[in-house]
Amino acid sequence: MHLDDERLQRLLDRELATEAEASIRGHLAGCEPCRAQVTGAERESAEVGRLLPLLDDPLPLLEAADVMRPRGRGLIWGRRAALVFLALGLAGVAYAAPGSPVNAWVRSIATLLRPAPARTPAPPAPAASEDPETSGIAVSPGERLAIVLPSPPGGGLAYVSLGDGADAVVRVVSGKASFSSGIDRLVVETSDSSAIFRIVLPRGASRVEIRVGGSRLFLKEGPRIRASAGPGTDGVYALRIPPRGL
Amino acid sequence: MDTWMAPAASWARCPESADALAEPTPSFEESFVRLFRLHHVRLLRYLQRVSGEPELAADLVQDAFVRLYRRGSLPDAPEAWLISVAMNLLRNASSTGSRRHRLLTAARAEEVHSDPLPRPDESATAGDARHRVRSALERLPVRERRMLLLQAEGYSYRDIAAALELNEASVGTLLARARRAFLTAYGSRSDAP
Repeated sequence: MHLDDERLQRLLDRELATEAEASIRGHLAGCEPCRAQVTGAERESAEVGRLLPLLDDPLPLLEAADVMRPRGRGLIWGRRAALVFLALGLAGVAYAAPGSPVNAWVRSIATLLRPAPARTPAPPAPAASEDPETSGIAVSPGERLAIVLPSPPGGGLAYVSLGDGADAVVRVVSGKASFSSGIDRLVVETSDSSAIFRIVLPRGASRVEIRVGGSRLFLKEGPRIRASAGPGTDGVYALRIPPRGL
Repeated sequence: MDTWMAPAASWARCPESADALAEPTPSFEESFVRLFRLHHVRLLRYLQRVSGEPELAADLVQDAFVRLYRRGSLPDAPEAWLISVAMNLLRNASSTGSRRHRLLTAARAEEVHSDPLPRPDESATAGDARHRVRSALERLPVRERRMLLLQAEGYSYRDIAAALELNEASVGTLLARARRAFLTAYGSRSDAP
């Protein structure tokens, strides 16, 4: 029985079981028309193999680390929140139920815990924030994040470093700024004549880009970093923000 | 009647996969990294050839693997799963102009390339040939075009059938037909038997 398209193609693509292939090769040994058919199909396959790579562009490098991020975090926190709500709900029902001993237990515990009249000075007020003069924002970088900085008339500086936190933190060290964030974009605006920013990016962030206008100052893609200036000895990139109009 | 049998999984062809099978219970992360290293390039090249947009292809491959990782376990046929997901993403990307715009405007000039760029004098000839190949491909029905490109990347018949929702027993016939149609459209084969 001569070769049909299915078996011929499977022979070329090594998709035949060993016995089937042996049987076909046995047939080919004595069948000139089928051998010619196989030779022609091999020549055509080679031609396809020569032509298709003409479509190719250089492949960008991708790393598994670029796509691996902590899994199921949202789910875990969702479950925890659901458990807390469930526990609170059950406690409320038990407290409100007529004849429930929970009511009495709560009263006795409250009596035990009630503080004695204050005889000591009031505790000091909570310490002020680390840097009361700075404003800032922390956002999750997600799969990708673009931080768009303003270009003040007098220019500015952005000090960029990597940290172990989960969020990208942008602080305005000098000047005042407002922040607006979208799904994958954080836009910083300022009306001051110059501005200095301190930006800490999560070391594990997949892709974070810092831009000013149409220029890219900094790009972190997985472990790779491209920046408009190299890092200092402390690992901080001091990136100059060009004045508006330049 | 002769019988044939496709490999149990397409990566059974790869030498490294023998090690994978020998390992007692690789974690999901280990399996994922291995799958990524072995197969992301061919998925990327397939999408690049289908879409004609290397940047878009890279984004889609990344998205497809992100979705697989977030799934937390490997499906029965991970490669077919990846192809299906990537093709759905491509369909979505093609139908939403905003995403397309974002992808096209995202500068990737600083990407590290694995192959050297062609010299200027080579570009014109290569551009003409590329145009002819793309035109020939676009004359094929979508299914045959995708089959031909998947087969060129070495995907198994089982994965091709699963990804394109075909009967695996007829993949060879359809591929032979696609090959002939492509070469005829390209002009390097006459329709005469």
